[in-house]
Amino acid sequence: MEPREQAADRAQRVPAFAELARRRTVFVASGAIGAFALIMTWLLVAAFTTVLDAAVIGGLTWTYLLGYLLFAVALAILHVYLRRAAAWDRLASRARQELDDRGRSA
Amino acid sequence: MNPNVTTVSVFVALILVTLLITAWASRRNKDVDQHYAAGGEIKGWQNGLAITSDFISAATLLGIVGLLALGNVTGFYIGVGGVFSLLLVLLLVAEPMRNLGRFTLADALTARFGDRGLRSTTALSTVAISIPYMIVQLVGAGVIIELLLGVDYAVAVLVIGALMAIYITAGGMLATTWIQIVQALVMIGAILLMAVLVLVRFDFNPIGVFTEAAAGLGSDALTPPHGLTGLDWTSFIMAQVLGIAGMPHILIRFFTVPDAQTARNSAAFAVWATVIVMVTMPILGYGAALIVGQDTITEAGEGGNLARPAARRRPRRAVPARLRRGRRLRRDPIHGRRARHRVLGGVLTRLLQQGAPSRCCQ
Repeated sequence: MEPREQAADRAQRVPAFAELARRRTVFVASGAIGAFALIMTWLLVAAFTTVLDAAVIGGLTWTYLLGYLLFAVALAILHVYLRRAAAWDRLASRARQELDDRGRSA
Repeated sequence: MNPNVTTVSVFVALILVTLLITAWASRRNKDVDQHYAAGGEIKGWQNGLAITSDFISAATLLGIVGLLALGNVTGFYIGVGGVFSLLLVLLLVAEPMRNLGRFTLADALTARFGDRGLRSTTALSTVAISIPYMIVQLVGAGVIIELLLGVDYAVAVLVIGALMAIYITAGGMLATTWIQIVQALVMIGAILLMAVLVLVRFDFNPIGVFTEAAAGLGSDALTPPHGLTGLDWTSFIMAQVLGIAGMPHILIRFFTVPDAQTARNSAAFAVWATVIVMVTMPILGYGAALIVGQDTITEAGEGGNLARPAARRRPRRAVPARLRRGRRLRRDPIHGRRARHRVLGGVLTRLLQQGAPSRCCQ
């Protein structure tokens, strides 16, 4: 069986696979950094200002309202990722096909 | 039926179920792959529930609800942080772990970087992380069993430790997974049941819980900590969000599924399940404070029964006036620690004992 490192090197030379890896890295990095930045912003604004102390609806404060919105944002990122990942799976199948074709013609 | 008999019966029934699962799993464990990775045959939703169970442990649940009951918004921070940490697990580690690893975190790292020293370093780091984490879980379980059954704390810890050892050595990852699934279902079911029982008293209006909490506990109970305390909590949540993606017992869960797609789906399932649980936490926390009462929660007596708050079993001690308001209660770590363990049992018992729903705190 081909060692994983060799297989990975060979796959990187296939354009479809390289494109897949690039798209995935861009999305995952921006999604992770964006999610992390959002929650840190919420916490820091809550810690160093009083703008989130005020009540919005009844006793519900901005701190809670934004916290609940963050749940919604997390789920939105989750579903966008799942949809993109399904598309990447199709690209990966194409890349595998390309690798197989090269292997046969070599 | 006597509530204690009910408690003991439910506890014994759960232990029997877990031992039956272990016996069933041990018969299916034929090789190393079966023992350490359940043969890679776990379905996405099953692994998702097991990951949820890993995160929503008894210690986490009691801690979050307890903090909120004592008027500390930071309990909600932990809930939001937990969801985002699982989101990072989904984005950054679920699929790579499944693609690279076989049994351990070290497998995945050495497959990628190929350094033998890395394997031993990862093994040491895994042990260093797992031992304190396991101690926390054993302490949490010991306290709950002590309160539920009235047995000695040390005995409770030893019994739980022995049961854990039996599950893992005899049943391997398959038994561990199914026991976690049962735990997740029991805990999610109990949380949702309690949330409904609390909401019944507020005409199914979640905002009403916050409004009553602001009126009854003081508006400070719903506002975040500021200054250095706020920074302290920001630091804590940052560690939580980034750290859970490195917890060995969560990462190895991705070796139990057949492929990267299933790993992805299981992480997504875990995020959804955790959101559903965490959304209810303020309802439970403030509901506990309003229905059980912060004074009762902060009573400092040792022992007692989780299904019956200590205040109802022994003469009630006067709570100092300085501890009566939420703003001050949250600064009292000793009362806070003891109280957290009583909150869930207390609120459930009060809700069930008081019969017909009626609005609280009026």
